[in-house]
Amino acid sequence: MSGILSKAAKNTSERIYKFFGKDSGNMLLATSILGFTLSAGAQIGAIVMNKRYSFSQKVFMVPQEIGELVMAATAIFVITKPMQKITAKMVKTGKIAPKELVKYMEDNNIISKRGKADFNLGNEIKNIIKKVQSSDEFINSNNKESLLSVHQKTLGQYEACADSASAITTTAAGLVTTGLVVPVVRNNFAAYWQKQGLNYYNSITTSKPHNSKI
Amino acid sequence: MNIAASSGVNFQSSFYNRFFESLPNKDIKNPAAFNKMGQRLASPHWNRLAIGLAAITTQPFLDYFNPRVDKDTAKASALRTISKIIVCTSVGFAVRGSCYKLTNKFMHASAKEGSIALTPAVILNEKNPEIQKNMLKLHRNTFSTVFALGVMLFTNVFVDAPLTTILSNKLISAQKARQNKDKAVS
Repeated sequence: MSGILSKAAKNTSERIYKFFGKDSGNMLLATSILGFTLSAGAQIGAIVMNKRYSFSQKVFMVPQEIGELVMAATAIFVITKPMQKITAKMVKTGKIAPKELVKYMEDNNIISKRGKADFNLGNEIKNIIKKVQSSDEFINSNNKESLLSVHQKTLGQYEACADSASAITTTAAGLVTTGLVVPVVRNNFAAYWQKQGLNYYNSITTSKPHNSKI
Repeated sequence: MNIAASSGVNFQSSFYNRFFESLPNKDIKNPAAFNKMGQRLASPHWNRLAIGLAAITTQPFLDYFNPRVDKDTAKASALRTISKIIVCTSVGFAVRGSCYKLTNKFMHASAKEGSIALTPAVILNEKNPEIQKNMLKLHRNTFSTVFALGVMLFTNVFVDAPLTTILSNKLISAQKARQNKDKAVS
């Protein structure tokens, strides 16, 4: 039984790796959308069943939850994705770079390309590694190995920087979205639907009309 | 998915490229601190905590001072928002943190360092130790986030929603008691 479970966990891990690849930003987005949906569903159920809320309050709170879900998902594509894309390009072209990478670009005479729209620092480092690997200039293999390890370390630093920048950007966008954009839009959305809902309710019930004060 | 198309930004246009190139280059003076911050924010529980703190700083005030609804609805909405953020952030942080710790226990770069039960073959076969280290950190975050999402299928319904209701009802009662006390005094 434990063997089957560990095999299933390993397979799941392999699939998740293939699906999200090396981009933690996309993983955070996908799980955020799913998380918002699950949470909103449960919260709507809790609002509907809570006897402490009046009818008019429920007619506001349910659209508020729906508005939050829709807005949070929309903001991901309108705010977070473009911010992620711009940050990724800034890291790829070396426009944002740790000081070690700046020195590396200077040492390898590629500093003039830094910040150009078509420059790809990661590919440049990989090309340098390939050149070193295929070069016959080295007197002994120790020199070659030590030089290769320097370039490979730099490639690791570049990838760590790219990933950190992606996570920081995603979180920063999340802070703006959650702290300001989502609550403002969802409240307006919910207020509109509360008015519509109460108007509709009053139009079908004549005995005891509801208003927002009830 | 084509991110550029979905985001509405044309990254291929010459105008965009000219604008992009005109931006100043920025050196990261403290790469260690930058990477530490990035890794922390990429980890699911710290990310959840950061979002929760941002939410509680602004959302209750925006709800309370919502000019488009009556005062009672605004108050009830603000109290429910406070309860929801406190409960969902605490539960989310605990679930994600536990899943992250459990994942770390079973995901190492080699059998010498610990269990490799959850380490994908691609990471185990990576020759460059620097890249392998980054791949491992990233996949630990990814796997634990997806794992936590599975757990939260249950906690959202059976923990978050009822606890939010209990806490918001307590806050409503406390607020009403205070209102009555103020009325009696005046």
